[in-house]
Amino acid sequence: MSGDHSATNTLNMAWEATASCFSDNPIASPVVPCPDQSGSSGGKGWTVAEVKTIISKTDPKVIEEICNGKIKIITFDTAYDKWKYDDGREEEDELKGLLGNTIRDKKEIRIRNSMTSQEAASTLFHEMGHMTRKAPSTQEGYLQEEIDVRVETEEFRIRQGMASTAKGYRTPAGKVDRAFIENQIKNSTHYNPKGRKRIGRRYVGEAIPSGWCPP
Amino acid sequence: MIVTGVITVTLSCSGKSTRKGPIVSERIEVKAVILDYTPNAMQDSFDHGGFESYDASKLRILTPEELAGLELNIYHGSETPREGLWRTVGQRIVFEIAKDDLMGGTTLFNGAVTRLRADCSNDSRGQ
Repeated sequence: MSGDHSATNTLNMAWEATASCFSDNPIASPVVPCPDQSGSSGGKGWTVAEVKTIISKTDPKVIEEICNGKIKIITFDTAYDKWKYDDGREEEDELKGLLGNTIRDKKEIRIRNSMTSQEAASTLFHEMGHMTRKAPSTQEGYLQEEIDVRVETEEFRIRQGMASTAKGYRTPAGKVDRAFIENQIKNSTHYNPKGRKRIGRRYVGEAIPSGWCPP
Repeated sequence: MIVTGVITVTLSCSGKSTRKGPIVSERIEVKAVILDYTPNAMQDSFDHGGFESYDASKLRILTPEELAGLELNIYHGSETPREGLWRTVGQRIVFEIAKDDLMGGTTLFNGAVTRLRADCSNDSRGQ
């Protein structure tokens, strides 16, 4: 791998922790995020209070980084990517498996609503691992960052008493198996779409719940 | 004004959503200047271990007048040429884009842009 191009990486693996209850909501107009005073992520899965409590138990620094860095945590029900095909057709694909997303320069992290509080905490920890690092300038740097963030996330899950993210992520002794994660990421499949181009993405059910930081 | 396009969208359990029937999409010509290019600016995390990263070109719109000053990111889901327009800070560019895509609050990818070219109407570098 060389150059600083972007690529999709897909891993085929036994995933022990899965998100559920994905929405098949009808297409709706884009929703403009608005502050939610209830601290609810949208009333479907996790709550800010629970996620904050979980993370603070072992890693209060992460919550401090969210507050000090003025990181905007945006929740969403689901997302759609719009594609244009070579024959002129345009279609939207629902991103049912999108759990989290980080946009560094905007200081935005998106977390799917329908996860449990434990899985939302783990996903937020992972996304903050990306957010707090300088954007890598090369493809190799990007893959190395993904490895490092996954190792840190697995260490977080061990501290939390959570199940392993996936089979092979821990040694028989219960430690993080960095070699396994490195091998998995570096051998992941790169997806370069043929016959279609991505036009845009819209999120459904976006909200910005409050309650992360002291008033 | 350029009017093109047919969108087909319906919703199915497979996760594909398709709207059927012709939808008129107004395409407008936009002049802009590249402010920045950031590799790996946006990252997705999927269940089952999938992940994806996108580079971003940050633009400031120069024309049309009603959009002048608007700054936006165009994300790249595939490799962009190393010496290409999207990567050249200070480069003035011209392209066409559906007004709905531009104004709809969506995250924009480079597939939304057609007829991308350098703006040669005057000095194409600097701002």
